[in-house]
Amino acid sequence: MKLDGRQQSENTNEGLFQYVGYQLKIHSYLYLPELSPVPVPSSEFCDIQITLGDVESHPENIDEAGRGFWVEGDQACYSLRDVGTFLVTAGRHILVEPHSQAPEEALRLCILGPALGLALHQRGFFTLHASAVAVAGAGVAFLGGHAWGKSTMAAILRERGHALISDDLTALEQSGKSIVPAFPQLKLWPDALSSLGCSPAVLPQVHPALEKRALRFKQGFATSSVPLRRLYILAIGETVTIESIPPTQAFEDIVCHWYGARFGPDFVKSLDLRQHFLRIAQLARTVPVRRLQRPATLLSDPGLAGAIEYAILEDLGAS
Amino acid sequence: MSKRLTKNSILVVSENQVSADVSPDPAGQMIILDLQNGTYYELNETGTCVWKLMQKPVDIQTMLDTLLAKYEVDAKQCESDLLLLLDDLITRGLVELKNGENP
Repeated sequence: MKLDGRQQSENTNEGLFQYVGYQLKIHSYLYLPELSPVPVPSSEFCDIQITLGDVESHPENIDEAGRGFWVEGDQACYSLRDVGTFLVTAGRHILVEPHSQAPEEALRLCILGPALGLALHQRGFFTLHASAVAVAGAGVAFLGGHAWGKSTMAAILRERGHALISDDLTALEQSGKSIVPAFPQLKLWPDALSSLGCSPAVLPQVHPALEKRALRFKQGFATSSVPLRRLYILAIGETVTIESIPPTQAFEDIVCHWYGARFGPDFVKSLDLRQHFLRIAQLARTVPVRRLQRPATLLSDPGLAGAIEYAILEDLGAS
Repeated sequence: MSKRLTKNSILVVSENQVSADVSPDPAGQMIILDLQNGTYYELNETGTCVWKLMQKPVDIQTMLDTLLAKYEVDAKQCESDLLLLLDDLITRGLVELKNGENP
């Protein structure tokens, strides 16, 4: 056992950590405390291996935020300036080349976000930029852009006794009928944590430059796949309301909040467009897509969490 | 009547597209993806009805008969609307003319 207390089994390779996330066995040479350790370590088999090494340089498109991307055959590669390069192959291997100055938290954000998102996509999951919760056993996903309150929504429902399924990166099984449990962590801003009664100062920051904190827990997390019942597009409004949206709009919303959209047009061009299109259309047709509106004062008004839970339960009961 | 279309013209959807119904309603709501340029198109209810017919080669007269049986519309208006739509779909390469001429 190392002095820093990181868990390690004696009968496995030196420095190899064994985790479960998205119901996959993940072997990693990087410490990833966000993921759950496997109950019984075995070095024989894993679904995804995460290793450290050099990624061969390749022409890539780099955007103004310093994010690079290229895709070729069964390989896709994401890079972030000053953080590192992440080469994902056939949904089985993530090769990480860290930048020499990269903080570990920043590396882990990229591994458990974009890199794992690409691996899940390559494995045939449909990925969404969303958080998901099992509300009375029904899988509901909250879709939205950066800072739309996806994690906050998941946190307040978890606080009311509903199990978290995923945060930020949501994976649907191939059929699109159920949501796969990701890992038991929520990334929350300090104001959200305070209103949930947690002290932000004692929680690890997700990134040295970000005030967002990682809330990790053992309870209140889904232990198996949950049937997908609703997709909620988040919005701000005066009251808590849930309204259905026209099918074409629903289709467009899913297109926009597909997790892969962040990798840009090169990634879209690499897809089997026909299959991708039919999958999204099927989701729009079979899963009710609603707009969930709530006041911006979500955190300061203690009555709102209950109102949201009630509105969702009522919506679920209506079908 | 449009220059290139007659009531006997036979039309079928092209290979360069993929389409799907995104609505749970029986009337449907068809979305078409042009695979050559990645553009999406959305069809209204009558457009969706016609599009479903064109999954197999079908002549314009049959389309007209179907629409007139299904919707309470003026026959002349229906015909000119239909030809406008079909002409547009052909121009965009989403629909192909199987036989341009009368037999």
